[in-house]
Amino acid sequence: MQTTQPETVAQRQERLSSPGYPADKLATKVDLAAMLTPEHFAVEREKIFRRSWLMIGHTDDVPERGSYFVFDVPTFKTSLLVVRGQDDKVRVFHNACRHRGNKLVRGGEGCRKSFMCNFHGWIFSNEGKLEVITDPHMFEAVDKEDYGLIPVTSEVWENLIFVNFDKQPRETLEQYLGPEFFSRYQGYWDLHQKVASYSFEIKSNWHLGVNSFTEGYHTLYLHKNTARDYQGGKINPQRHRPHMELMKRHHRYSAPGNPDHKILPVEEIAIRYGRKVLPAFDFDFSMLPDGVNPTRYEYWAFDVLEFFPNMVVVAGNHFRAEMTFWPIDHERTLVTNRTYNYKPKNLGERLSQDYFRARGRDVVREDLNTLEAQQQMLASGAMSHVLLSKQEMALQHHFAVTRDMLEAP
Amino acid sequence: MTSVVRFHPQAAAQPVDSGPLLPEAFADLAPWVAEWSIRTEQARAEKRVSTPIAVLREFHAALLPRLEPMIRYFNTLPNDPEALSPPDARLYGLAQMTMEASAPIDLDWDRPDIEDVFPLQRMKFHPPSI
Repeated sequence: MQTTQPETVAQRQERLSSPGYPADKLATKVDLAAMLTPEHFAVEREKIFRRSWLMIGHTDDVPERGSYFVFDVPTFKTSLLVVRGQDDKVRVFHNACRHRGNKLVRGGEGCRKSFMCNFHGWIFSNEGKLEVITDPHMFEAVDKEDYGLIPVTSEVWENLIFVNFDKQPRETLEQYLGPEFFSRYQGYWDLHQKVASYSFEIKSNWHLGVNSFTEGYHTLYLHKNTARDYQGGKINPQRHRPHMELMKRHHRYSAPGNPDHKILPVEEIAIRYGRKVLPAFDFDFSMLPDGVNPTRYEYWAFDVLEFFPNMVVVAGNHFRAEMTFWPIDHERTLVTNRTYNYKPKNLGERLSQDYFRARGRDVVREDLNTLEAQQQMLASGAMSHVLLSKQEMALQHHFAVTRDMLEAP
Repeated sequence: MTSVVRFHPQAAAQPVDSGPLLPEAFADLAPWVAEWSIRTEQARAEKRVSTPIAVLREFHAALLPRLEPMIRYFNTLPNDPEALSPPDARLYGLAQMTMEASAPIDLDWDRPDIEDVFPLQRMKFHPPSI
């Protein structure tokens, strides 16, 4: 007589995973040390970063006409000015006065109708038009129309602003995101509001940063102090991912919540007056668009999305975190982390979120704590390769896509 | 603690406004205000990791029984932390710090921070975290 064993989480992943990326291109051994050199990074910057669409902020960050923020991009040693014009359109410009290249806005954020260069008083509108040349008759026949701020190729998806530094982008943002992302998150990015924003400068290569947030294998060990039982549990003690989806460039997987997660004393109060946020999970995902928890795993904690090359989103129902990894050079990375929570309907919910924010911050600090240690030992050249398990399939994919882009003409 | 002023000048023990320090129902929490009513995330995090766990426990033990009454009180006020009156704002800072200090106590650590972790001092906080 045949007995039916319940399907394991690993079997579930195998059954549901879509063959969006050729399995024979995935490697379990990666010579990561060879990728940490300045020469390798110089090629990556041109072939990966310059050719990719990169997320630099949100339309919510520029809520009103004239709202702006400055984003310095260490990878290309440049600065961008992102501004919502009087016509309500969000534009991205090189942050340079067209006269002699002075950095127009030195940093930060705010709201202005126009921007005056502090060098010689030239004024640009919040739509980028050159409005005033001081002492204009001393210039030889300059047409102000020709000297507006220089635009950077940008597109908005949902409410995320992406830029492309290629002179002639090879793909639209829609093509770059692919169908798996593009049309399957309607409304998701509006569910939450920003509750925290952090950045970290880390002495580590950018790959290590991305990699540290795209597997669940480490969570049992690295997060034993801060989130000891948030994933897996009795039914899935090794915390295997219930879903894994490898795309042309990006990937997405679902993380397994623990239905037996032990709720701690103040956590209980925070949940009673608010909603569950990591390390507690509300298993009701019925209101979410079908790109989120795409296989509708019952004990779903959150999804992890890698937008190749340098953004990782941890996407839950009542929270999400967006992390970007901007290489400064081959061995230094600027990491940003923006945390979002459900929109609070009262102050009690805000206080509840304060509890979970403190818990989540420590988890991120644990994640970041391995990068410099790993960088030091890999860069020493002692190891010919790193080993990647099936639990680290997303890393195998990340490095396969890296090779794809480096091998492209 | 000389560093308290740096954390949050508005939370100084002698309020610049002439009204009460805290809302009447919470007047007994006044001794905690100067040091523990902290309104920015960065300053709360710094306060937590730089305070001995025994002191954190003392603060937490005093505030925990009042946490739910505080939340219920705040839920009667408009949903805007920036619009709170000075006494309400001071109480709100105490409630926020109670949440911050709860992490190591909920998790039963014997120290205020994880032993081997990315240092808080190297973390930059940006709006809305400042």
